[in-house]
Amino acid sequence: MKALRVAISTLAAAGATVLFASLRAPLLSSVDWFLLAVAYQAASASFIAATVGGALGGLIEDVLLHPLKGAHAFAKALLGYAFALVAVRMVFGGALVVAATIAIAELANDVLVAALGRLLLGTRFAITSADLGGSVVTGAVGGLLYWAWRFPWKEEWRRRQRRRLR
Amino acid sequence: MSAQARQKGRGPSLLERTGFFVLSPLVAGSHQAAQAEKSVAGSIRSYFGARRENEVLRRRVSSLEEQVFALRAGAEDAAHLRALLKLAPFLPAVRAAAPILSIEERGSYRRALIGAGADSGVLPRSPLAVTAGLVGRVTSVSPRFAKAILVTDADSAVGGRIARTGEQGVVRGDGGELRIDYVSALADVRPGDLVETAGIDGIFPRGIPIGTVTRVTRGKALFLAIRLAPAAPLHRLDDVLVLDPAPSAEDGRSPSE
Repeated sequence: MKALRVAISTLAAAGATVLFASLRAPLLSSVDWFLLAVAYQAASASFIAATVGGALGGLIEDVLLHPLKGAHAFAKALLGYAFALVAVRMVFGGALVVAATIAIAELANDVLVAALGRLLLGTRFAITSADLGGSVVTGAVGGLLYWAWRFPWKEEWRRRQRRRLR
Repeated sequence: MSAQARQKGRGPSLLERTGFFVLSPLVAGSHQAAQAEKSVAGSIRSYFGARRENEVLRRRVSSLEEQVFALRAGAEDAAHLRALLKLAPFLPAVRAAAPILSIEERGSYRRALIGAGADSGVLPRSPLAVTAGLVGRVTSVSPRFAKAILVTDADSAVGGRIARTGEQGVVRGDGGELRIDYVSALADVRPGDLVETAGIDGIFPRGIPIGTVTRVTRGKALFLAIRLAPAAPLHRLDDVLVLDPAPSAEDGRSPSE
């Protein structure tokens, strides 16, 4: 079940990345969908699922775009482990906290990838305003998805039905 | 990862080839879904805005016709002189037009995934351009997709020349803007000058606009520090033209052959 969850969320992230980039949706194309998939996998508090899912998603990201194969895979596997650790040790207090955690994780991902590029390819280490913007947008979308995931849709629908019947 | 540090500049790895093979249906499907959405949205928009758009296009056509009339005589002269001097055309043939599927803009990386590969005739090192100017070059090719490095990537280097004076230098990216290095401090360079490909690097053919000079200051040693704004609209790329790679020195041919 966990393997299926990892596979589906990772493939959905790859699909969303290409879909929003092809649509030229400026905000949604700057979202790191792979990181959101890792956060979703870590929500089950499984270290293995989150780490393997992170590595798999990162590897797809590397194959599609990045010049250093394994940079995103390493960063996302590490972040998957960190997410799972946070999920085990802490109780999250709402969408805002989730959004902030994801935004920080996205920034950490950028720093790790830039540092690996600097170390292994000699590329200039740079964190730009676009990276900061991407972190904020990824965090905001992550928080929104978390809110939508946790929202009691069924109860709300039933409540509305009851109100209508009265 | 560390093995790649030594293999920098090689062709696609087995991992990359396998990855592209496995991900091809997903990437192609997502792109097609995006195209379908765009087409529906475009149809609705054009239905409501057709009359106004028609008027704008009419005016544009008449302005372009005037330009064609003015340029025709010059083009005929140029073709005649080229034939007399036995010169090859500056601009290479277009191999394919390809959609941009995804762009990575992280740190100083500016990479793109394009929706055409070896099956469409795309070759490694093929320059990418739009009508406004140079976009980048292909780094690795799979049957249906290709990866490219954009001119603004920190690893990108293009042989460039100031079109007005002919001063040559190396155009490099820094993740956002461009700069041209190794232009002598004695050179006459002004903001607004066009910088185009020099055709000296064995990759990019001569004469493709790269950018416009925005700032000129005294740099280190004997060179100027020149900043450029990219000529191509790199933030809103839809499709790119894949050009024939310039014959390299290793091929043993001169560019005019």
